[in-house]
Amino acid sequence: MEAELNQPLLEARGLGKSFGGTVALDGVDFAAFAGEVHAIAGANGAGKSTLMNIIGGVFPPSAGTLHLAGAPALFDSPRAARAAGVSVVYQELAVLPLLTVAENVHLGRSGGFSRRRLVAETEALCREWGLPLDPRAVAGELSIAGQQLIEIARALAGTTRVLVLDEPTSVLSLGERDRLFAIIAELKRRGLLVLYVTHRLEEIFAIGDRVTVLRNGRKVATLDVSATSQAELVRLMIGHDVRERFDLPPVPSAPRRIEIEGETPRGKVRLTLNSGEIVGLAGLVGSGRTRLARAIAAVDREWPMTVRIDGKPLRLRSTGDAIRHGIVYLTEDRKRDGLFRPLSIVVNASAASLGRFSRWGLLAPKPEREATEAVLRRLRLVARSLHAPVSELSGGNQQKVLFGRALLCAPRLLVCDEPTRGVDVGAKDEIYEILMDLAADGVAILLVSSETKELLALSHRLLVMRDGRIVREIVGRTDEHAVLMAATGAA
Amino acid sequence: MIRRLPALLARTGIYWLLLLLLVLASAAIPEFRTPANLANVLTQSAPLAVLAVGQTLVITAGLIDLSVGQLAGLVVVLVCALADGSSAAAVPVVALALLLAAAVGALNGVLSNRLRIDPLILTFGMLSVLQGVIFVWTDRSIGRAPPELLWLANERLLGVPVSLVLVAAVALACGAILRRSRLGLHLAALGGSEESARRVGVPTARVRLAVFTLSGLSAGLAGILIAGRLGTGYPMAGAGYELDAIVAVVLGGTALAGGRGSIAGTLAAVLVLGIVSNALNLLQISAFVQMVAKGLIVIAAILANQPRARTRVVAA
Repeated sequence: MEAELNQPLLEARGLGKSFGGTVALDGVDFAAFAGEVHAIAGANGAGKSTLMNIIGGVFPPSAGTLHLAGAPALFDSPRAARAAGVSVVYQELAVLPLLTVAENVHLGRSGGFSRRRLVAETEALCREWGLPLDPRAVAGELSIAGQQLIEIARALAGTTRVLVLDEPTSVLSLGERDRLFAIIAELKRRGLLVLYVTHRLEEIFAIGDRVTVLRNGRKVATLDVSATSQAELVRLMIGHDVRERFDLPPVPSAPRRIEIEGETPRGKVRLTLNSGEIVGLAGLVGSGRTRLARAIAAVDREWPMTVRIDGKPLRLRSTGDAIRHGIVYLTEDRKRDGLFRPLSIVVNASAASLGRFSRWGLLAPKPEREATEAVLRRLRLVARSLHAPVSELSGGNQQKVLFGRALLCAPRLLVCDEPTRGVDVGAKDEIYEILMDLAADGVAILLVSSETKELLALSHRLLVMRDGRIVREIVGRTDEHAVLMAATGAA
Repeated sequence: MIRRLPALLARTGIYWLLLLLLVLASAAIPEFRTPANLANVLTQSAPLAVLAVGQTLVITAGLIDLSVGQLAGLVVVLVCALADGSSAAAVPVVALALLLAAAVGALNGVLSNRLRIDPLILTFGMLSVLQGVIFVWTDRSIGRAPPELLWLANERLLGVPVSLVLVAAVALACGAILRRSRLGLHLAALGGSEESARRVGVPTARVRLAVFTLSGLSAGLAGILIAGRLGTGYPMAGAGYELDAIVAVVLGGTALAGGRGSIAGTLAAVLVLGIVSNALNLLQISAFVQMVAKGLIVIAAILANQPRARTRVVAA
């Protein structure tokens, strides 16, 4: 490639970032050139977002440097990055819904200002780049695809040389995707560097020139897209050539069947769980795992679901209804929507089953404490006192409190979203044991996890999600490779 | 077009309410429609108008400034005590007062940026500090306003209240900031979503400093008008103005959560409040009953003003 003869437009040298004790990015080197579409690929947690945030000036690196056209680039804010010609279009769009398209496009620029000129300039810009946008329209009334175009127009209105796109197609229809690809091709033709962050491998092959693969915060390789294959990329994303095989245990015979049927924007989903069965739900970030899990437990009602237990449909109009029917959701984000952090362990554990411990609205503290103690003892919770604030506990013990809360609800279906996130290794094993014990007691478990190994080690059966649909069911002998191939759409 | 009609009505509701009140009051109370009384409504409303226009900028930016009432009160005491009725002192004293008010506003901005305290709490603290400063200085009315301020606040020029000219100037300036300046766009962006604003490169700290400074300045101007109306440095002169200003802003259609503001709507809302109080005065209804009436009107008007927000809550 002739561009390689020139100086790289954007270059990372030994880029590192750690948050507290966790290393998110570790000594990453890469170089990207003007006029190329450079894909950044990696599995969940590979460090793609961290890299992008450093490039976009959201936070500084803790080690290493970034160079723009040969000069050190120290961005202390997104504003500084933009001023230097680096624009990032995040998955979460930064569009202000009450402002017009023209106002949104010119936000954050300095210099003179006149509303009429704003509209005229936006019109000219859209004509020049072929963006189908009405400058006078109110941004909030546009589709997501239209709002994404606003962000691209905003980048083009400045002196952008590097445009970073973060999973830009996850919200687009196929037609909108093709339009975006055409715009990207035009940007490339005019000499911009487009960094394309994605885990959709087929898109890398559709528009990418080169691809840098990250794994566990490190760079694994930079390859010419024409000289590689989806299978090779998947192998690089997972890391080991040696295939660890897993034999999923046979599905237990079913005294009780839980059938779930629902509607997502991408079509119908159907799944069935037997009591005593652990079903793993695999998929990349954004594939809809969490949304499906929350929809099943009636936490969100964006995707309407019908749940039948032994053929009898349940009326689930709220999380409370779901809990009364024994369908309990364990959140992926303990701090945000799991724990009442300043309150005691007992209160946190019994919060979802207070009806059991009260009469005429008055709590009976003794049965509450005794039942809670029994459950938490069974979970081997380590705490100085059950009346201590739950925030004192380690991540693993906090998770056990949430498990205790679920157990006190007498669950028939437990929907666990990332139950081992932010939990140390020892506690992880204990949580695995808890899950297996529960299954042995006849609870059906839907296990959502980003760690494919964890799913393979625990599940009787795996369901793989992609684009809001269940695309594959895996039973019997399998490995990580097969799961990731299905999740990325490579196979 | 038809579909947008409810939204349009909601957006323009305050103007219809103003029109309705004007017609009702004129029909029911003969004294109301005399030119002298109408001019009186305008002069009485002038200080609140200046404060509320400033607060419109603050609320559009998603912030709030509770310190403006007491800041205006401090300006009243300062101007009257220092000038003590002297014409010669008028200009320097007014200049000093406006400078002080802008400085207090800027201090709010700096503290909000540096300490990252919620503006509601921060400016409430400032309210208390300013109130304390006033009472440490004096617990009774002191000094006299210079005659120029009496003229500014109370007199008419060719039938038009002089204070109306000041209000118009402030409103036009703030309207220009909101609609025709980059700062206005940045205000709306900050109020719409601070995170988005930051990501697209809006200098959020500078915007916050600017809007609090402008708010302080508008409080200073309102204080000058109040000093002219009262004629003396009454320590309680500014009490309660901050809440009336916020009510006027929200009645006028500015989103309390920020992101969208309307100066014209704020002015109409100030007039609504002014007409209600004037009409009830003319009907010789006690001040306490007036409070009840004002409260009910505010609640009803807010409800009528946000039908869409309500349906969203029900649907969620």
